[in-house]
Amino acid sequence: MTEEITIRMENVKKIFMMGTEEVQALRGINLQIPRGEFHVIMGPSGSGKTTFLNMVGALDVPTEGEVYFEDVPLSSLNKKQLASLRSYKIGFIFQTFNLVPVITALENVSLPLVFQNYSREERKRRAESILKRVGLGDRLNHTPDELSGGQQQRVAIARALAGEPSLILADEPTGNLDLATGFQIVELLRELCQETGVTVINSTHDLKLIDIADRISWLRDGEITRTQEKLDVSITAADVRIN
Amino acid sequence: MSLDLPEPHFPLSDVLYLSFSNIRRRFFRSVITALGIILGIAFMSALLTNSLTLGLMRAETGVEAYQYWLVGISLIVCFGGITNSMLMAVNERVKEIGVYKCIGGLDSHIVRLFIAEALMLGILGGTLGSFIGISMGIAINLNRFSFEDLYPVLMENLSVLILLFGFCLVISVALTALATFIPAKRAANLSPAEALRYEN
Repeated sequence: MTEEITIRMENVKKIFMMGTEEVQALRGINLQIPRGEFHVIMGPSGSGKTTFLNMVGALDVPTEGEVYFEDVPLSSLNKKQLASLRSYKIGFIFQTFNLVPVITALENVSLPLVFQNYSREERKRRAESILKRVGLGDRLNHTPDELSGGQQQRVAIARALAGEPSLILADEPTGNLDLATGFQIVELLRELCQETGVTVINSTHDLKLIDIADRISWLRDGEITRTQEKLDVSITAADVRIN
Repeated sequence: MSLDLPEPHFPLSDVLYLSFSNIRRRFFRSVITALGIILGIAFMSALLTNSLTLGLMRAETGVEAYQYWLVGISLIVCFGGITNSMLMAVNERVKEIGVYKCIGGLDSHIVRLFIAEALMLGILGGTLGSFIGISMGIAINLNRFSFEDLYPVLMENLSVLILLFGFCLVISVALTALATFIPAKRAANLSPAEALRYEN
């Protein structure tokens, strides 16, 4: 029995047209991420981290190559099937939190469950229990503008987990937080990843995440220069020249 | 091999609730939009009521043709105003649209969300506008006819007045929905990555 692979990328390239100029955001990514792994994509801004996550999360289509989600090639799915995939299988966490501003924390966390057709009571029950798990049991009925950045990101984590996805994509989740809060957030993410067995892909330029990751891929100018186990990480001056 | 997943749902009650929350939280913007609708519809319904009353009272004078022109123009201006504020309302929320798409929202769900909001504003603005307009259309005729003469005639033709009210309401809802549909459809068609990247 081989281990289950959540994400397999084969020679994924993405080219953007900036006016008449071609910009290669990804230059042929090959990567396999097994189920339950906490994978960190480490790279400076502009290295293609967000584009990378957009490809994996079926938010954008590669120019070349193929992304396999649990062995299903994403190019074989139509628009509706991709929406279902995102709804049932993937949770997203963003640098800017991206909560819906007009509704409460509880309602934000319930939102993915609306699309999964859960009953009102079941949604509330689940959203409440997840919010309690991320430490916001006393903030259920606050709207995002009444929460601090760290609290908003906790709501975002709860929202990402609510639909019981098999993959969580976190795009610089600590980018807008101070150091201590940022660290708490990734610790929480790590714990939840271990508890639920969900696969996490976390993009960052924050070297502290090396301690938390199972494996790290170093992304440079749209290429993965190397992928290594945490234990094998030795940082060279070139790696630290981040940002 | 394929993933066998159900299609995402967006029940009407949730659509309405989210639209309502949005109107409530962005109250000022909603009031401005509603005011535009109210003014346009009130102007139209006042003139139509005036014309109707004059006809019912068999008055010598009727409504001049140029006044219908004015109504037409005011409706166009009203439509432009609603389109403009809806464009802004949609633009402001493109990122939010990206988020909806990330958690399973389909294009049609997003259009539904905006249309529901427009319908609420259209119904509210149309109701108030028609009510104000019809009242004013009757009130200006109190100059010409005594209340004792006017009242029984209007009561006799109450159904016509109600029909007029309904007509103005329908116009209001249709204009608002149309003005919203265009920007909402355009924003909903963006790929989720584009929507998330969007900067206002």
